[in-house]
Amino acid sequence: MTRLSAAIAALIGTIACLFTSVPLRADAPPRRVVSMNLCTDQLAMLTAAPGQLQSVSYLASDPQSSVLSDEARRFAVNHGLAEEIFMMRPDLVLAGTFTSRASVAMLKRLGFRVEQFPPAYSFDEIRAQIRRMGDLLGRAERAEELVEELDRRLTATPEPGETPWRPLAALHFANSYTVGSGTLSSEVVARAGLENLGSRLGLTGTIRLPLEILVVSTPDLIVGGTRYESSAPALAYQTFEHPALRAVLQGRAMTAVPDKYWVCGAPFTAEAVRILADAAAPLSPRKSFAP
Amino acid sequence: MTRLSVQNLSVDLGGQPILRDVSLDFEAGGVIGLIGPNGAGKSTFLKAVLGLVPSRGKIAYGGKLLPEIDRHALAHLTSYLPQDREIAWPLSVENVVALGRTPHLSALAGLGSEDQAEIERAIALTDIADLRNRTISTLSGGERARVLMARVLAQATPILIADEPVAALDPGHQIALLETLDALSSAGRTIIVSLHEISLAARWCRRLVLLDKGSVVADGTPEDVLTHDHFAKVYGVRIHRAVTEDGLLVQPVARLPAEK
Amino acid sequence: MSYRLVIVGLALLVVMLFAASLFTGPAGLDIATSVEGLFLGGNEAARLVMQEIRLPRAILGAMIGATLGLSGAVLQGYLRNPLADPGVLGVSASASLGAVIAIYTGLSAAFALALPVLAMGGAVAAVLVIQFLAGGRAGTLTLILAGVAITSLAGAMTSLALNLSPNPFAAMEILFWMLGSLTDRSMVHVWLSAPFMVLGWMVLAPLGRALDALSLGADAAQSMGVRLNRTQTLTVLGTATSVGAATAVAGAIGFVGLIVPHLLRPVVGSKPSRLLFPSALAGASLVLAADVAVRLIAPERDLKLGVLTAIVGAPFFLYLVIRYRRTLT
Repeated sequence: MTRLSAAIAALIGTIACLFTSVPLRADAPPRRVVSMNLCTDQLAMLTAAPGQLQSVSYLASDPQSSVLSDEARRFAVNHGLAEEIFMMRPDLVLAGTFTSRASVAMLKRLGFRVEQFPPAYSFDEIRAQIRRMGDLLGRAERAEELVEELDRRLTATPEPGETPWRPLAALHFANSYTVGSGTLSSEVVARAGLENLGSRLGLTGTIRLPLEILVVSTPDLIVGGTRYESSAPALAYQTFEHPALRAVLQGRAMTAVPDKYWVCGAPFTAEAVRILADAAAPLSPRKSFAP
Repeated sequence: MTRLSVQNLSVDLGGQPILRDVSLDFEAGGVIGLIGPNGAGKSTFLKAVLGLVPSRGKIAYGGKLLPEIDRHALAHLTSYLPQDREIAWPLSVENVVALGRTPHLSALAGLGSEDQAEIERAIALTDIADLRNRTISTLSGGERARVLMARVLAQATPILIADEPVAALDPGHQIALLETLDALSSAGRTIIVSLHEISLAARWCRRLVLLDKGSVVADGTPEDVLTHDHFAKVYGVRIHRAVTEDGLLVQPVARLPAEK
Repeated sequence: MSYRLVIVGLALLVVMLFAASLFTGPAGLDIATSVEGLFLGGNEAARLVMQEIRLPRAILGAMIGATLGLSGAVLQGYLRNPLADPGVLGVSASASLGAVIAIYTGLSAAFALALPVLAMGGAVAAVLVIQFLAGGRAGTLTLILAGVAITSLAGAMTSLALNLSPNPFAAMEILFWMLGSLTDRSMVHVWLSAPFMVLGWMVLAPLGRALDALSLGADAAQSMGVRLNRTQTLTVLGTATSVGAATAVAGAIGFVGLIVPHLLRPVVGSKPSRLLFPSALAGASLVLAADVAVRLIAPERDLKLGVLTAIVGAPFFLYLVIRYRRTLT
């Protein structure tokens, strides 16, 4: 989600003038791959052959942001600075579209091949990105395995059929932000058989939803993001304790979907679908208290 | 309860001795004038007597020592007109005079009939009736001085202390005010004023205390205190002194050459 | 204009704005549903919105506004200075610092009262420093500069504390603390702050007589029976308690205490004691009005309350400086 753009540090170093561009060999798969972006990190870790991936970004080893945080420790860490990446002499650099423009531009000027991946906003997008990663790394078969895995995990959750009732889910993040249509989270919610309040209200992207409107909409489920409060509190989560929110929950807990499952689109995104579907299963239509 | 007695009063301010071992007794029956050169300690003496500056020695009101009298009780005994005439807000004249009743007001009540009576009396005595609805910030220095004096008079205390009350007034109002104070003192109040106007002091004070460099140089009737000798020693001036049918007239006329 | 008339008029204004605050909000409830939700509680969603979201917001708006108005009038009377105000003098910023320390170290999570108590501590420190720096009869320039110094220092330390917090959101929350907001305050915030605000009012309200006497200067006031030490202690404690508690739950809302006494002086006169109660009422009105405006201007966004009070207050402050510049010493 939006955390991606904040994650990559800006380029600050000076580069030595003497360098040669790395020769490209279009036919052979790349042998030294460096990834600068949390999502490309994880896709690359899943797809690459042993020894092919040299480095991933520092976020890949953060357990709150990355599903593959343990695996990430096997690789060298980079902070998205052109200087570090230059020293690694990669023949392929993977970045996101929100990765620092300065860093990406610098790497391109230095003659490196940089492939950028936008944030995935749907499951079809995820499949396409997995396949693209497979093509880039010369691992098309492996990519197909991953797509199958995604599909297999998704089928574990039944498709939302013609059931007349879909529980209404309100996504509630720090500072009262919610997610509207056109986002991966929205797709996940739909696939789990729920209706996204943000979409119903006609919102798009990540946007603030006043607590009052959430209350009046009487959602059946409130989905909370990861609370970054283990080390220190902040006001951003005050609404999570608000009596009105608690009342809407009617004694149940907020459904927690760890950010790491749907910040990046990958086979593990199916986990988010599962969590939501499980949370929704025991619900039945209740007397709505909307006017 | 109009007796004020001061014994061995010493005051140091900012490390400097201002008053040294001053002993005086004050009673009703005539305006008592405190005179002396600049820096003699007149204002400090008045402040010390009111407990506004720290001091050593004994100060007693009607036999009761000053530290044992709380502020509120003291406000019923003495009223004070400071030399500083600043007023923070553009209050109406009537409100300023009414402030004098502060010690007499209970926590919640407003002005009672007795309060109003005292206020009216004070306004009449200082001749500010036609100013009563004006804002104090629009008045001249002299008018303002009279209003502040009225505030003190409205407090209606047995002892009244004023620091240079006639400084800004025109001759007519100067005399009027001193006549008023004289009448009040004859009626039983102890009135202590400090002033620079020697000619007025000669005429209207029944007793003068001459201070110089923190000590009492002379204490007695104007005739006894306002002598050529005292003026030469304390002020370094030659005076013209005459006893007329209007009383003692004293006028400083020239500076004396400095002599060792 | 009759004093009683002014009081009644202002009280009516507070009531009207309180109602307006209750009926303003993004949920778009009509008046009938709102009233039903507030009193009868039949419609659960409306009840939640009205009782748990709008009511605490309106209550806090009124009480905080009253606190700021009253403390502004008291500070101006006590310091004999028309430019005194808890925001200008750095009291609010220091209270914010105390609150930030309570929240971001996790203290208030463990012990809820730590929040108002630390905020009040910050406020006390500021008032004492002002008193010390400004001395007896403070020149306007001295006071304002002291306030600027305290606000800057408190603001810098607040920023530092927030930036040092491991929480990724903390650094952005400086806006809340510096500008103030009433968004999504709950009844919990009301219970946490209201007793202290009321306590502060009870300490400040009886100071009217002493403040009147102080108009003539400290010496004259003492000669009329005012005990300066006691007056100072009560002013410090009353201001710190009420402003501290208010800031703890809503951040630093500025300029209310500055504007309100000035607007009222032409109406009720300059006598400090007469300004106290009307200033409280007018302060409540001002904050309630600003809070309604904030929700009308930018309903979906969280526009900070302090933005509006600053837009009105800062130019007003400038006007006062110009008007009083001849008395700046």
